[in-house]
Amino acid sequence: MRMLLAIIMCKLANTMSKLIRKKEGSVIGGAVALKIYPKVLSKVKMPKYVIGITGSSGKGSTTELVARILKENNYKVVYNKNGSNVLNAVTTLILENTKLNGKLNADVLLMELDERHMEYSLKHFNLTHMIITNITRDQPPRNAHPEFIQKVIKKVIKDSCHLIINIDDPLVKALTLNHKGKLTTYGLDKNNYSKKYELNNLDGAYCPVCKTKLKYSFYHYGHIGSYSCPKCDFKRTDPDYLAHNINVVKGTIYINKNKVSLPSNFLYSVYFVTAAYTLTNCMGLKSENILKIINDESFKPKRLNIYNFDGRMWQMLASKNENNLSYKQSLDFIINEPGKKTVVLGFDNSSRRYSENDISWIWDIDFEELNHKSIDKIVLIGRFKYDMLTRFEYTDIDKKKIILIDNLETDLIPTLKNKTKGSIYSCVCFDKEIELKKLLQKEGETNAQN
Amino acid sequence: MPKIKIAHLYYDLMNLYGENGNIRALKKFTERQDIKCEIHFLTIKDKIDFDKYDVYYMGMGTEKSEFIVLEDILQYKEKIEEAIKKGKHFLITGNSLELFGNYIIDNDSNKHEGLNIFPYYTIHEDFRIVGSVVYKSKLIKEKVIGFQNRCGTIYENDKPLFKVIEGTGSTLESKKEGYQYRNFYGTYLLGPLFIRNPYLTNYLIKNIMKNKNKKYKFKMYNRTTEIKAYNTYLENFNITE
Repeated sequence: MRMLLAIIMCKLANTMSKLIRKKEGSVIGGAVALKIYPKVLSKVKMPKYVIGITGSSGKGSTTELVARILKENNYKVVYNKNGSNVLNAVTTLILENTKLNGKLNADVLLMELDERHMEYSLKHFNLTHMIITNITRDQPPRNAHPEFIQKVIKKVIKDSCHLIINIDDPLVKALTLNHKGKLTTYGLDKNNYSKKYELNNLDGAYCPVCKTKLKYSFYHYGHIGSYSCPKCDFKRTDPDYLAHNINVVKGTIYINKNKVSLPSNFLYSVYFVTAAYTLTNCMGLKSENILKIINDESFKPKRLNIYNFDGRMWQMLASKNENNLSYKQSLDFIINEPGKKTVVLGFDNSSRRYSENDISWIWDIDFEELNHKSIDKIVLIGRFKYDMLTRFEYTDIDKKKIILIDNLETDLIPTLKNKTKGSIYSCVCFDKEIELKKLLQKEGETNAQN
Repeated sequence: MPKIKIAHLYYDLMNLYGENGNIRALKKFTERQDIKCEIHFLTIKDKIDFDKYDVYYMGMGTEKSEFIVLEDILQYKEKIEEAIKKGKHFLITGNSLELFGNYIIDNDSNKHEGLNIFPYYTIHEDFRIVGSVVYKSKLIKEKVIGFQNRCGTIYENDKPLFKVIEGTGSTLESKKEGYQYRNFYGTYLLGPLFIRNPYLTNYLIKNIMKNKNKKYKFKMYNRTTEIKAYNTYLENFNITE
């Protein structure tokens, strides 16, 4: 009876929330249902596939792509579209799609799971499959550090779960050491982005088994790469699903000899495409049925954040503050784009989620990469512009290339017009991006895609 | 040209985030003084010489890394104690400060013997202390700004380095933080502390040079970007001088 009441109240609360706020209510229904019946999730009759996707980055894109592949292959999929992935949101998602007889009305329940908080959701039901994308430095005030997140994920892994992991990440591989259930691995072959040199600022640098320093034959980025322990048998084994002949700039890769076209020219898209392919293939989907969806041009995301500005292209990239490796992929992207470029960087707050303003993360970002002949100017904006300027003074980049904007309102547009050349790439925090868009609107500039 | 030699201890384990800024700051600030700065990166399996260097720096690491380091550093206990007594500079940030105490109780209630050079001890709590801080010290008149993200609390801290103005001290209740004995300066603050606190860094460099040569004349640069960033932070977050 409480179960029924919880389901009804969840649906009702969500409908009310949608009516009043005129948008999707993602947590309120779940919160109400959990108040009525805290064990409600454990009573839901789950479908054959209950899939969780977690990790420090890439979980949202992976979830989206998996959902699309499954839906287009006639699976009924319930998934968290808006990425809300804490307990109340997961409860809402499940109960909104549960019939009054307690059965989840789908073939697949697919969830992007917040690595920090998923233990609370997973107390109530089991996953049949779980993808772990990577464990990296990410929002430290909230997530502490990679080994802290590793410990949290470890707690929720059960032997009944088929683990699908990024084998290039030793911190993820370490999670499988005592796993007795099914395990499938995916990874990337050496490519243009791979580096050979010795990095000395890595997470998980020592073997989790015997505490010897790991050796790398190459790094893709950060501690993600091809590692092996010189003393014991802990190493990156050959992936079951290998992305090879990778050409990020052209946007093509092969997965186990099948040609795949990438949705965007970022290294992370190689990872999420390979992860989605691996999972859906493990579920029994044929390669051609997966690839026809991934390779379908009509599913490619539109590049909405491109503007015309004074006869120049301006592309806005999301700044992944407090995640140095994601941020670096934006810099990689900029460097790999053709022609001269001007880069706009800055932030007012380190995070949108909390008020802590730690700036340690800017010291982990490899800004030295912007010491490149294609970069005309680097324009610094935002409340922490002097911290950013300091950071740049510790690179070898010519001081003359760096411009500081004191007053964004009045100075940015004329500076860009008169003192900079080439296409513009901005990589700024969310709030600053809104301000930049307003400045562009004032200039009468419109989105190039419209 | 005068020269200082810095050992960055356990650089590949004690690097939670942004710690690399500290060693870069020490280099840049000394070079501004026309002092040559030589940095050696040392870790497990290296033979660390606690006589050879002017400065020993160690940063913050994960708890797991901390205990890997502890196991290794214990072999140098006497040498480190001797070096500290001699007045060598130790700049210790984050949880590496815990290693120099009597013992550490970890999250699973296991007791790890520390270097036992100082009498304090550490307990790893099941929560983390996270947030910005403002401290004051006797070393300089300017305030010290920084950030913490730790699970340890230090008890019986008899020689604190800082007085807490905002944020947390050695324990949740304490209004004192850090440790100072002769030229050993330790604090729980993490990340690029020496970048963000140029006045403190200048003080330390001056002190290091005076330690080598009593007549050393320190040149103060007041218009550096680090100072501008420091002042802007105080302004933005309403921290009054």
